[in-house]
Amino acid sequence: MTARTMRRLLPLAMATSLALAACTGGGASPTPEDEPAGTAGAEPTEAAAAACEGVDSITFTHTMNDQETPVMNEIAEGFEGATVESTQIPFEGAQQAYDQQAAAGEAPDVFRAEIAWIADYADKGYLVPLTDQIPQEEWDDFLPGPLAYGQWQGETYAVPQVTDALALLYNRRLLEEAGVEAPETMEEFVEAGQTIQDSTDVDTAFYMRGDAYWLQPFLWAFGGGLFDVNEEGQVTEILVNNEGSVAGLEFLLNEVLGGIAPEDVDFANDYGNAMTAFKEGQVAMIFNGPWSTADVLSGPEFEDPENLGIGVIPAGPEGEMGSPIGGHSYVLYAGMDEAKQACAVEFVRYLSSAENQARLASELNLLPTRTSAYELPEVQENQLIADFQAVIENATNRPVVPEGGAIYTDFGPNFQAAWTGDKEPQQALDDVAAAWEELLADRMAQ
Amino acid sequence: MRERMWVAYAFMAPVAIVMALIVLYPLGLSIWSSFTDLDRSNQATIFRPSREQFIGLDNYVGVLTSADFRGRLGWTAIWTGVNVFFHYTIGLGLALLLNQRFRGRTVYRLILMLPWAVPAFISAVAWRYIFNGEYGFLNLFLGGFGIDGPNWLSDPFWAYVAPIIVNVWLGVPFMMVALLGGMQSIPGELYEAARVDGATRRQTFWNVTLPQLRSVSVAVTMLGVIWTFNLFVVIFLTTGGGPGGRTDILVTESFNLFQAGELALAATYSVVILSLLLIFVTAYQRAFRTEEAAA
Amino acid sequence: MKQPLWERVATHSILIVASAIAVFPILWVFSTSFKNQFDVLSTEIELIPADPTLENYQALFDPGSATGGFFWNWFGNSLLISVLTTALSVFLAATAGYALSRHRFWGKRPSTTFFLVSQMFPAVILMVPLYQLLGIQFRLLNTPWALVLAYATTAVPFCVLMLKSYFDTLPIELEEAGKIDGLGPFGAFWRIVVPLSTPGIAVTAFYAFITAWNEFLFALVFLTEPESFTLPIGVRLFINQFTQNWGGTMALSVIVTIPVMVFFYLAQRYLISGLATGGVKG
Repeated sequence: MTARTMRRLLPLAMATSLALAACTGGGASPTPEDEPAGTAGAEPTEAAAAACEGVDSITFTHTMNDQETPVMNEIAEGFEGATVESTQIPFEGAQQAYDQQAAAGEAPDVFRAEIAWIADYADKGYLVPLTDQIPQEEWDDFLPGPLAYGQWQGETYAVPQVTDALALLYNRRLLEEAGVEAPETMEEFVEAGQTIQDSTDVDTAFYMRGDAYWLQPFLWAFGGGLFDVNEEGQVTEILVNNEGSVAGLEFLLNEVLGGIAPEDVDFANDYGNAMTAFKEGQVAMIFNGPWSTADVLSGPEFEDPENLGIGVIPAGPEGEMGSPIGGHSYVLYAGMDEAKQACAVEFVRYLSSAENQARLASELNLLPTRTSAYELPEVQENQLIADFQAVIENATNRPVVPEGGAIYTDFGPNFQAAWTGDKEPQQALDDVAAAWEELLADRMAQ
Repeated sequence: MRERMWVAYAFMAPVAIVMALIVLYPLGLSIWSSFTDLDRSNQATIFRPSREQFIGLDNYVGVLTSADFRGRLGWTAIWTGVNVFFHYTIGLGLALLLNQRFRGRTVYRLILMLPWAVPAFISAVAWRYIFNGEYGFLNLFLGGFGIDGPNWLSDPFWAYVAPIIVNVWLGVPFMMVALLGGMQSIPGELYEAARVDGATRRQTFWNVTLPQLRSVSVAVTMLGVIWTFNLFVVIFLTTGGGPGGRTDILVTESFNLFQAGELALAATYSVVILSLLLIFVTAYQRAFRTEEAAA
Repeated sequence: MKQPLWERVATHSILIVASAIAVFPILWVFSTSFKNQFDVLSTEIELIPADPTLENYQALFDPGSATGGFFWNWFGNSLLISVLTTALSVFLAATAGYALSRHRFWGKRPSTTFFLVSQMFPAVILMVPLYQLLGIQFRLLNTPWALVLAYATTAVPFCVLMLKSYFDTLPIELEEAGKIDGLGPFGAFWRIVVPLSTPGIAVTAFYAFITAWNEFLFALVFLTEPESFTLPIGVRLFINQFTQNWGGTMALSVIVTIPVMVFFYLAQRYLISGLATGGVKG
């Protein structure tokens, strides 16, 4: 702290003398000279030691939740090449905070970014291109979906850490009590919900969030979508207000809400309230991702973890289904000292080794992003992971554009407006489409 | 006399230099930015110089003609007016009660000042917790009386009411203390005279107390308007602007634009906010000054 | 002239209800800070937690906890930033307030107007340029200096006006006596005016300190690393991607509030007199 402060007294002196010379930070060009050090996790220690010679410490920040953070920090600090300062930062505002730090030359060396933020950072030149820094056979081990989120204009900028998708989480006890199977279609979903409400003491079978991310499965199930992007990153078609999307939204509003799910939902607290209701057995089904399972299993209803069922999102009338692939990846800051880059690359390879992914999987039920990790015994033994794997296979990649993180800004409020009846479903989705046309104006294919 | 001028400038110099550097120069930059297309993708970074372009009045035209801005301006005005109204009336009522002589009034005064002593960001967060539609204290409490409480933070109507409740709670103590101070400095002879004239208490209040509180009232309501208009934390931490950005006031919207990387629009908003404040203060002072001159 | 009974009953009833409303949210924060993670969201109203725990408090200090146990960093940062802001502002403002109180000079009216106006600036007005200047150009993100300078933008004008109105209350004869004793204008200010103004300076400093201690918006913009946080934005670390650790939020809130409250009650008499001099006239 004091060393930091001292180092920064100089700029203060400059500030007061109104010396407005622009500060230029450390060089931004990546160093391709580091040797690819063997295949995935073969001799990690030696490779790290070689790459990290002369590097004191690496700073690493992430936005993992309270259950995940202690495990993450322990893994990160177990890196043998250099000392690692691993810190949790608040998720809220993290996207902007990294942007601000990166612009100012103060970003952490390694950051665990949400997948929708990466293209934007890459486009602004904040990230080290990694395509040539990691051997091709190692890249080939990663699942294509999560890997695609880290690619922008032909370069790979991010190493996937975890992947996720929304699944149908259900309370087996309640479903058995009602004598229903986990629903596979939207029609069965509503029927099952009705039966549960009729035959158990549960008032509402399902709990829906007023968040556009949670709406996406309904759009895809009925043949709708978000927008399409071609190989050059140009937007070819906006799908959010097509017939299928509107049908999905109408199905949700007419059949689900008020039928098997509460219509009157406190959007400001809906995530936590849905989780609490599910953990205490007040609702039988929710949509949620693998990140939530550690929390779910801490609830009284799931003292026996067998009681938690995980199924794919129900399919629509034409058998279509979809769940948004999400996740997080490691990115390297282009403004760090050049001497550190090789070490940071080794650090990220260490973090994303099959063994460490397996550890996140077995302790926190987080889904690995490498094929080889799924073959390790501790991952194969984890039933939750196996269940989620089926979900991921049926999941859908979101379009990759720098604005990917910003599309929900207008999507959410319009969804809520349709929910509360302020707007007709078609109108609400048309408004989303109009907002996106403006947001993506520079990227529309002619 | 010339020597005294020199002394005065010597006394003023340090503040003048610092203010020029940290207020006037940035303010100039802010105004400049509002005429450009500055955003996070063309701002100066350590990797490259800024590439923003001068675009004239486009930002102002865009902001001032948007329905979004007009709606927000309307809500900001309601937010400010309603809050200051309740601050003043409730504060005045409590001050009147506390201005009587009775056992325990110091204790009441100390308790009633509590909301002022708690940092505002903490109160806002605490109220957000209390407002939870399903597990929040308020709805559980109302449920005890058989009332099905609304979703305070996400219902399109109650989301406006909730931050007002928080801010009324926060702002009453200041008004109460200021007005109580004002009442205690009213000379006792005035009340004595009123009593001799056989005035009722109601008449005394309207003809003695309220007119005597005039200058305090003008000052505190003006401060109240400025503070409430600018109050960021209550909106930001209770509703967060929700549902769907409806409850954002001008200052929180300016911050949202900043967060979204729309730096030029954020600057435009801030210049508009400053202009509105200046217009208000000038008009308010003029109104009361001329009235005072006429009286 | 005793009040009728019903009036006294009415007065007390209103005051009791008002006091309950004033106190309750604070009690609720206090109570929640001792609740475990299941009881914080429950359908039972428990003012006294059935299953009380200290874990929320322990986590604040425990480096192994998710939020990193940065409490002492945050406390230290808040203290350092508030003290520096106060010292800088009072030091700069004292001479200016004195000049405005005692001297006539060209530019006096515009300066006074400037101080009045800059006091009403909401923080967002200077946010974009200060972020660009202090954050990007001078690379002061995550340092106390960025905040000290940002806070000075409102603290200095405020202190100038407060001190000016305090100096106005001191009789000018004192300095004239000093001049007869051979003190120059600076000597008179330093040897006579400043020592006599200790109460005014103390109230001003108190205000400047509390304002910096409680500030939220600039801290949010300039501090991005948990070890550099101040207490107000430390609360943000308890918000995860989807959920909020309410127990931890409330425990931190209690610890932040207690010193402010103590301070507030010790200073309340001066607060009120400060209102009469600075706030109201300003």
